[in-house]
Order: sequence, then structure tokens, then C-alpha cells
Amino acid sequence: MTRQAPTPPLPVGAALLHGAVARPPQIDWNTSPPQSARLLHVDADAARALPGVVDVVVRGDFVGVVATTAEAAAQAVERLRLRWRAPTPGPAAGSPLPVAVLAERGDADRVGAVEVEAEYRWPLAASPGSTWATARFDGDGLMVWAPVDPAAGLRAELAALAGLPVDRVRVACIEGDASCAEARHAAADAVLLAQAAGHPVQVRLTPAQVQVGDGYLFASRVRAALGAGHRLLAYEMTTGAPPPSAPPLALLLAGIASPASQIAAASRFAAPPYAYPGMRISAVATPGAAPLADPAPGIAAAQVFAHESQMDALSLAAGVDPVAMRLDAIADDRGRALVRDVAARAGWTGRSGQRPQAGVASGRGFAYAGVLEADAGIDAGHAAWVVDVSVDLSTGEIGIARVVVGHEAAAPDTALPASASLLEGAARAEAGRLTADAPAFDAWGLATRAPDDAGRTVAMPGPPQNPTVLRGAGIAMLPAAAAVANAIFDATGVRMREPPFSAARLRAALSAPAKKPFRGARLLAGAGAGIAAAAALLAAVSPWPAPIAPVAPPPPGFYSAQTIERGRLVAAAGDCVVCHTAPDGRPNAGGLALDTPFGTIYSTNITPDLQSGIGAWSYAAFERAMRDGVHRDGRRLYPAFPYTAFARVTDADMQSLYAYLMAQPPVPATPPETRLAFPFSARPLMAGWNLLFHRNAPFAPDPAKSVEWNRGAYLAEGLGHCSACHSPRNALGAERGGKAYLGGGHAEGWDAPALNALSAAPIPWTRDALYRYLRDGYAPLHGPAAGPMAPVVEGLSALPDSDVMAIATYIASFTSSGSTDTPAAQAAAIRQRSQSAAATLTGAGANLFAGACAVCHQAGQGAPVFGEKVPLALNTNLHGARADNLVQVLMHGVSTTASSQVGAMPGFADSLSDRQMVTLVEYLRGLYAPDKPAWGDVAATVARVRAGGK
Amino acid sequence: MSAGTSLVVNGQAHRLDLDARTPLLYVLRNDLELNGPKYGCGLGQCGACAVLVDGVAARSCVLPLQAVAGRSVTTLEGLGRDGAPDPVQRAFIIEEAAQCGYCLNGMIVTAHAFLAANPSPTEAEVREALRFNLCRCGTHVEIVRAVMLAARLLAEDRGG
Repeated sequence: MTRQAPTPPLPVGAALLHGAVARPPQIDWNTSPPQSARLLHVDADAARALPGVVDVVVRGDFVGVVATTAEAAAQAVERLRLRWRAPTPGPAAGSPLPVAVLAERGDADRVGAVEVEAEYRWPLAASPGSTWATARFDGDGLMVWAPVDPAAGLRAELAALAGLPVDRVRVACIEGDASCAEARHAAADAVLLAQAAGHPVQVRLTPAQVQVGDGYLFASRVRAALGAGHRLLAYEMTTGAPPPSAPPLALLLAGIASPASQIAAASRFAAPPYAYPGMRISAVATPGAAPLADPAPGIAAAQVFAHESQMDALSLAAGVDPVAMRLDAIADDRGRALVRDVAARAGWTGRSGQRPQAGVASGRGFAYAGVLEADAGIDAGHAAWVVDVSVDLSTGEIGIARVVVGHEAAAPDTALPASASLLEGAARAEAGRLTADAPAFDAWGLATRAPDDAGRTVAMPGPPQNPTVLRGAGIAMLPAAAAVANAIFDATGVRMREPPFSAARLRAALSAPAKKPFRGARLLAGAGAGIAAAAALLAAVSPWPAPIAPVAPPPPGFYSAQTIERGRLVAAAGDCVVCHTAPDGRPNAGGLALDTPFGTIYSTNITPDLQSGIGAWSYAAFERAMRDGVHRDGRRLYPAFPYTAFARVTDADMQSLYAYLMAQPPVPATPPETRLAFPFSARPLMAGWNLLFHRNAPFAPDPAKSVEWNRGAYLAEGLGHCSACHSPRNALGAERGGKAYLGGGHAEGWDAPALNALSAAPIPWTRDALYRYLRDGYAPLHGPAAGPMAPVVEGLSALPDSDVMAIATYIASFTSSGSTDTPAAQAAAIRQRSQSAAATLTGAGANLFAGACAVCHQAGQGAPVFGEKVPLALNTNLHGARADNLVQVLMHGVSTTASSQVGAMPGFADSLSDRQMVTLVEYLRGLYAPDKPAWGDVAATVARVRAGGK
Repeated sequence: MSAGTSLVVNGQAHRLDLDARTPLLYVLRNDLELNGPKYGCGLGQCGACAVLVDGVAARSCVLPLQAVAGRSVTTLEGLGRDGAPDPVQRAFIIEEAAQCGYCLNGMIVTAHAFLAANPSPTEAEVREALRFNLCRCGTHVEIVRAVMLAARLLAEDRGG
């Protein structure tokens, strides 16, 4: 690649317009090219009328809006009225799926003396995360900035889109965002919009707008046959072919054929590197699957996993040593030499052959990958792995005892870790990842956000050398999964056919009796437990845990910066600072008054001050408080402190959190003492409460659910303690589970709306809407995060997009969609209803609304006003069973919405009397929720909120 | 906590190390000494505090500083220069559309944004556009006339 001119600076501020796009409701990926729903009609009047909207761009089936702000653009897209015609259906159900033969030689159907047939699976996951791109046209042509690998294919595609020669298109890779592959879509959108607007345009896309699939199992069915004398005879493999990676959607929608080849990249590994005289590799279409962002690395790993697991099984069936069999079968001299070398270095003497019935078993596995020509980001070369594992046969836990990796690259200048120790480290990490229990549900990514236009500096690297180690290292890591699986088989006799090889899966396969979680206590709760029941149980438990002696706090530097940083993210996800900070107080110094039905509880000082804080708390004391709700001195804590949720936090996260809190500056501050009325003042009673309602067990991922869902569940059920506010509580203040889980609660004078099927939201929450709400503090079809939810969003801003999306995925799995209309159509209908209601409702309420509210909240009247004409008709607070949240907002306003630039509202407590407030609240209910009954006793709510006002 | 808020006011870039929740109006009047925008109701109702944010009329008394981070703010002072008022300001002078003048910042700024979106409005449209600029003075008729005149002056300026 020739040296490029320096990258021009990214346009920001007023020099930049913002784009948003509307995607067709369906795209059929099974046809070639894919078929999108066709755009029949666009009514853009309502969108164009919004303040800040510059242009509505329609090209073919592509629809986008350019506006002065990203919010205005996004809101305008919601106001577009679009009619679509569904795509012509692809192959009818029941008709045979198309089969493509990728490679064929000799007679692949010959039947051998030894045959092994098996299926191997590999989870291909999309990388979630939002993405962005900026495009600018000028005299020199087209300039695009995006977190994207500026491969020649993308430049050609953007050039075709812009109608420019390729040499007048430049793509600058902006570092700092994980969602590289999806940025192609944002780049193409930005090009179309910038061209139409004649102005630089930035587009940010949510994962849903990228429309890539959220992953599926890539399955490979393999049959291998050996002839007489264990000679290779025939090999057949059929894989479920993912749809080829999608062209940038703007090309597809604008009807421009992509000039770049869209062939899936991993075909190099479709054929095994062995000299089978007969071989056929075919691919069967995967019906309904949307393309993944960049499936190539995963497919290569999946295919090598299938080949090498199969080789192991075949050698076992033939009674041959797996290394010896490969040495006979590998066609390439250098490949054979590498296999021999690695086996010698590892001291390979064959399978262990020992299988103890109990205790710890150990085993050894071998795997090889080889490719002769570099292609599609994977270098030519060979790699071989020997892995030693130890398996605890009772728990299924897998330990990686040793990894020996040999790698030979044809091209020496790859990004492969240069030194042997780096390669070893990478290999260990890879092997560890494969055996991780519930992969990554407590792994913390790095926070990455699109650059704001608020003057943030952005690193401007030149063309990237090798975007990820995985890609550069390519082949070196490919044998990892099969080597580990083969070693597990050697140790246990269990063939793991799908990574990750978690303890839970292996335990299930070993049919070891799994420990059942303790459920007895939960059943008691259902039996109408009361104080008497709790007291009766007192005899059975120790009501007074022992104090844990004070210790000196860990010295500075005791914990690594990495651990403390991880702890910072854990604390942000747990929102510690929200409850442990008094109004205008020092962070985490305690003293916030929490009103509960049992009395006022004051939060404690969790800074490491020796006297008033937790400075003298050992980790053991801290962990006991977090998991069991016991103070260092042995006092029981009240469950206003959500130890019931924090018990689910993993050890690693708990340790990091301790490290982080202990690394903060100590603040001497003694909060007011919590005094509850009897019997709640008797803290020992909490022992009975805990027995009834608290299950101290770490989070257990659901293997049937996706990694993302489990990550979201871990964050939401544990640190995030969503249900602490959003689930109803029973008479003893314990959260109700089952169908009541996330069924709505009450906290800090606010209603915490139901997040499950009971949600009163006029437009059902979707994963995408939840993501935007949690990420930006604002969801266009719902409204801003206010009240106690605003600091939650602020806390979440420390977490990466992938974590916020994981929480959204988890929560969205409890919502119900109800209507089949698109959200935009539902929104239009609901707004229409309010407009007709406005005509009939007059009087004092209407006058108050016109004077105090309409300037910002009545779309279509008056001059456009900066910010949002917030669609109150769509706001859950107008539709809920209680007026509390509406009254809170009217009284106190919405002061900050964390990261958001919309949603600020003044409070009217000082300018509206109680009577005016009641009149206005009743008017708003009638105007925006005419289908709901009037709220009862609004006057009492107004009086209560005013009295308890913050 | 933050490293200050960057914004552009009347074409000049500023970096302000202030609480991000400070209302923009206070920042403009107290920190940048721009007294064109007025404090009226403090609740975003009357419009005396209006400014332009990226060309759109905004109620600066209820807009936290963070909401305009990275944006371009134009106050009454930024519309014309001293001695060289812009066409909307000229029209208000010609029509003598002021009584006490307290609301006029909002009227002029809002009219400016409105005429950018609707260069040749009807009188009814002008009244609709200004309906949320609250004032009790006796010059409403002159104000509407001034906006109609401003539309013509702007058209002339564009060479129409």
C-alpha cells in the first residue's frame, strides 16, 4: 500500500450534519442478491416539519434524514410515514434447500472399512455495538471517516454508490470502536446522505439498523472413511452456509450492484489439509439467517474444529495414533515437518489411555491446521497444537495444564505475536476462553463510543497494519478448539462437539449429578410467610453473626491498575454512588435517606475512611456484607441494600470492586443512624428474612440462552439490581419473583414501571429502544430517563455498548410485543388520537397546558424549538396506573439526563399551585391516555410529592 | 469531573469550565456578557431568553449548558453588527415594533428562525409562529408587520 496523504481532520460541530436512516421491515437474505421490501410510498411532511431537519433523502428503497442534530434526525425518521411491499418470498418452505458444492475430487461416496460420521457445531456470534461514519464530498472527491478496515472492496462499493472513480474515494480508519465490519453500512449511508445534502454528514447506527443477524450455530456434518490398511479413502462435509456477508445496505437499497466480491471468505478451510482421494465439501443454505457482520474468522475456526475433531475420532476408530495418522495424511512437506516438530517438543507419546472414574482425570489432544496460499485475511502457513488438560470429574471443571504451539507462517511480516512467549500467552488465553464456564458473562470490555462532536480529539492513525491479533495471527490459533476438545476426550471419553467446553456442559455430558439449588426457602415464601413465621425460624439460624476484626486497609499499589479499573466498571454497573451519596454530599460518603414502607434507611459511608467508612473492612468482611447482608461488626443490614442481588456477582468482580473502593480517597462522614419502628428495628429478625427470601448463590448462566443474554442477565440480576425497583415486593419487603418479576415497583417516590408483559408503555419496548434509552438516556418513542433512572443511565455510561446491549437483550426477553404494526405506525395512531382529544378538551387544563407546556410539547404549533417536541402521548408515565411520575416531573422537572442532550425540563413546583397541578395532571391524562381510566385522588398524590419534594 | 464544555457563540469558540447543568442563559449573560437574551419567566414559557442553537430557536433559560456542547449558539448580538442591524432587526426598527422592548429579543430571534424555514409566510403563519412568545404590550400588530417586512427585506438581500 502506498503512503497516503495525512488524514484530514474529522468535521465536527456546526460543520457537520447528522443523518439517520429508515430500514425496510424485511430483507430476505436467501436470494441472490438479497431482496428487501420495496418502498411504495413516502410521506415526509411530518418529518420535514420538525426543527433542524435539513433534507429527507429517498433513493430506491433507501430512506434517510439529514438534520442539524442526531436527535432531530432520529426523531424525523420516526415521523416518516412509509409504505412497504414485502419482498417476494424466497424458496418455499418444504422445497429442497439449495446446495452448493465448494470442492470436489475423486469419489467421495466410497464406503470404507472404518467410517466415522459426526456433526460439529460452532456458535457464530454477531459483535453487537453501535457504529458510525462521517462522509464529506469536496473538490477532491469523497472522504469517509469510520472505524472500518479500509479494504479496497469497500472503497469500490462507496465509489459505485457515489458515482465516482475509485481513486477519488478515500477511507480513513478511525480507531477506537469495536464494530468494524458494521461500519461499512454506516459509511454507505453517510455517503448517500452527504451527497444529497451537499454537506458533511455523520451517521450513527444501532445494531438493529445494521440488520445483521445476532448469531446462530454453524453446523458441519462430516463423514470420513478409511480403506484397508487405514488408508484415507473418502471425506464428505456439509456445512450450513451462512448468507454471504451483506453488501453495505445502502447499496442494496439503492439498487446498485456491489462491485466487490461477496463470497464468504473462509473457503480456504472448507477442505481438510489431508490427501483424501475422494472428497466433497458442500454448503446448504441456512434459511432465514441474516448475514453476520464478519463471519469469516468464525467459519474458519468452525471448519478446522470439525476437521480436526473428526481426525481424532477417525484415528481412534482405526486404532492409530492421531499424530502418526496425520503424518501419513498431510500432503505438504512443511506441514508434516511442523507436526513432527511440535509432537517432539511436547514429548508426544500417544494418548494417555487412562480414565479414572472419579477425582481428576488428565488428557492430551493434538490438532493441526494448514493452508498453502494466503487469502481473505488469513495468512498461508501451518499451525499445530498439543494441549494437556485436567478435568475434575465431579464438577466438570477443565484446567489447561500445558499448551505447546507450533506455527510457521509463509509470510514473516504478520501481526503474529513476535516472540515465543507472546504466542504462548495468546495460546493460553485462547485455550482458557474455550473452556470458560459461561463465556464472558462477567468479562468487562473497554468502553467505546462514537466520537461526540463536543470537541473530543480522535486518534488519527494511518492505514491500520493489522486490525486484530486474531486476524493477523489467523492460522496460529485455529487448531485451539479441536486440540482442547481432543484432550478432553482423552481425559474423559466425552467428545465435545460445540465450544465453549464449559464445566456445566461437560458435567452434563459426564452425567454427574448436578447440585440442585436450595429451593425450600422460596416455597415457604409462597405459603404466606409473616412475622410469626420469621420469628419461629429464628431458632434455626444464628441471628448474630460474629464480628470480623478490623484490618489495616490495603496499601496503595496492592491492587493492580487493571483490577481497580475493572472495579470502577463494576461500581458503575452497580450504581453504588447513587444510593451512597447524600444530596450535594461527597461521592460514596453515605447519608442518602431512603424511604421504605418500614421507615427511613440512611445509606452508609463506603469510602475507605477508617472510622466512619469501610477502611478497616477486610475483603472477607466486605464480601460477607455484599453477599449475606452482614455488617463487619455482625449487625444485619436491611435489604434496601440489595445484597440479595449482589450475591450473584462473581468473585473476580467482587474482588475488583473491593480494590476499587479501597483505592478511593477516604471521606470522614458519619451518616444519620437508621431507626425503624419495631419490629423492623430488630435487626436480628433479618436472619429469618434472609432464610425466607435470600439465596446466596452466584449467578448461574442459562446454557440454553445466548452469551449476550447471559451477560445481560448477569448485569441486570446482579450488579444492576434492576428488580430492586422494578419488581413488586411482598408485605415483608422481599422482591416477588416468577410472573411478578420486573412487574413494576415503587422507589424513591417514583413508580418503577413494569418491564415485563405488564408494561403500560403505549408502544412496546424493543431491544433497540431499550438500548437507546439506557445508552442515550432517551428513546424517541418513549421519552427521557428521569428521576432515579437518570443516575442509572449515567452509571451505565461507563460501560461499553456491548454491555448496554446485553442488558437490553435480557430485559427485552421479558417484554411482549402485542401489536404487529410497526412502532412508527403505532406512534402515528396514538398521536392522532391525542390530536382529536385536544379538540374536545377545553377549559382550565387546556389553558394551563397552552401557557406552560405547549411551547415544547405541542408539535406542529408555534415556531420550531430546539430540542424535542417530546411526544407525551407515547410516554409510559401518562399511561401507568398511578400519576406519581408525572407529578414528580411536573414538580421538579427533569434536571439532567446523563449523556443526553434532550429532556431537560424546568420544575413547576414554585409556579403552579396544588389545584392548578391537579387540573393539569387530569387534563394530560385525558389528552394523552383517553383509553385509560382517570387517575384516582390526584390531589393526594400532588400533596404527597410536594411534601416529599427533593 | 468534566474538562469543560466547548461551544461556539456568535462565531467565536469558547471552552467553559462550568457546571454542565448551568442554564445557557446564565452563561451567556454572566460569563459571556451577552445581554441580548433576557430573563423572563425562567420556565421556558415566555421566550424572552430565546437564542438560536444551530439555527433553531431555543429557550436558553431551561437549556442546560451540556445541551449545547459542540453546537453553535447565536444571540441577538450575533444577528447584526452594531450600526449594521440584520434585516429582521431593521424591520423591527422601521415598524417601531417596541413598547418596553423586553420581549423583543425573543420576537426577533424567533422570527429569524421562523423566516429561515418559511421565507414568505402569510400573516396567519406569523401569528402562529409567535404564539408562544408571551407579551402583554401594545405592539403586537407592529410586531407582526415587522416580521412580514423582514421577510421582504431578507428576500431583497438574497437578490430576489
